Amino acid sequence: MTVVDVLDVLGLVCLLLGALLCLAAAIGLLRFPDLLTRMHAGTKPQVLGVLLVILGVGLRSRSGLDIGMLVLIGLFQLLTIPAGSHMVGRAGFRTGQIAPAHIHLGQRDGEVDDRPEG
Amino acid sequence: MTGADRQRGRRGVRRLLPPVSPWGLLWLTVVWVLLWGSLNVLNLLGGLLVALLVLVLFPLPRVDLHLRVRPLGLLVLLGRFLVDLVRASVEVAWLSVRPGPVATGVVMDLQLATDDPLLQTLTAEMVSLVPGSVVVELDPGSRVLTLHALNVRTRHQAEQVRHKVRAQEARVLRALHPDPASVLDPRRHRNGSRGAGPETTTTQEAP
Repeated sequence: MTVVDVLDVLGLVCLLLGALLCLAAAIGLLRFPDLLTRMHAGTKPQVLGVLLVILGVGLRSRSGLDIGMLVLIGLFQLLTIPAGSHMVGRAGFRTGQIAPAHIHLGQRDGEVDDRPEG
Repeated sequence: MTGADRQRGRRGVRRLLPPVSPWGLLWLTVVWVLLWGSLNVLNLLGGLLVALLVLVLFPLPRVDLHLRVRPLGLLVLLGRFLVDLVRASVEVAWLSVRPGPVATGVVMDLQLATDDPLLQTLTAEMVSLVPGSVVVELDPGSRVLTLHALNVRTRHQAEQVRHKVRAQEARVLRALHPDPASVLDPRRHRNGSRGAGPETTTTQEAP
């Protein structure tokens, strides 16, 4: 087994895992009950899924400038997806899309949680 | 022509040109070349031209960076972020495909320690990608971060999420803030050693 084979297999594994995470993100978008929980599904598994797919493609293509382009895609995914989810979440929050039962402000800042752990 | 003359001349020319940051120019050119996927003279010149056009037509406000990069802190920040990203993805992926009732969450407030808008933004962006939380709103003036926490039911769990977010912010500060102790140390915090500005804004939290 040569280095090329190893890289190919690693690339395939990354592609597969990334695709599975994207699938899970899609299922989450369908199953989760409200806007903000859907944003969780739309950000985290989605970002890692895309990063893994990019890594997989990079491991299989192995040419310098292509990898640069892939790094760029990954970087912009990391920068834009949280900002996008923040904007959607904020818009939903401000326009009252979130049921009041889900709003929980909890303790004020500075108060000490004196209950025992666990 | 003396050196002083030449300098004055250059400054005169510079005043006529719109302010273009050389780093911005370099970065946009690199992005252009990478997007084309091959390095040749045409791409390089085209990239420079496009970068110049973008920087002249869409000038950004100057950002005053009061940052000091600490390599070790940065390494901790990035390493922990990668681990958290993987954990968060697997967690949320599992929550979305597991059988049984679907997960819900709560919205909560939290006070950040820093007033620096850039560090607040960085913290908020990273918090969106680590386990348990998505940012809903950030008020830079009062430093209140509103976030949504997934799969949280009790106050204790909410407190754990707060603790995690504060730890994330502390890592950002330790990596980039010029004097993290002044912000993170509660004793110095209370004595008001951070300067006059932010102390005048009091936070009104909803009851």
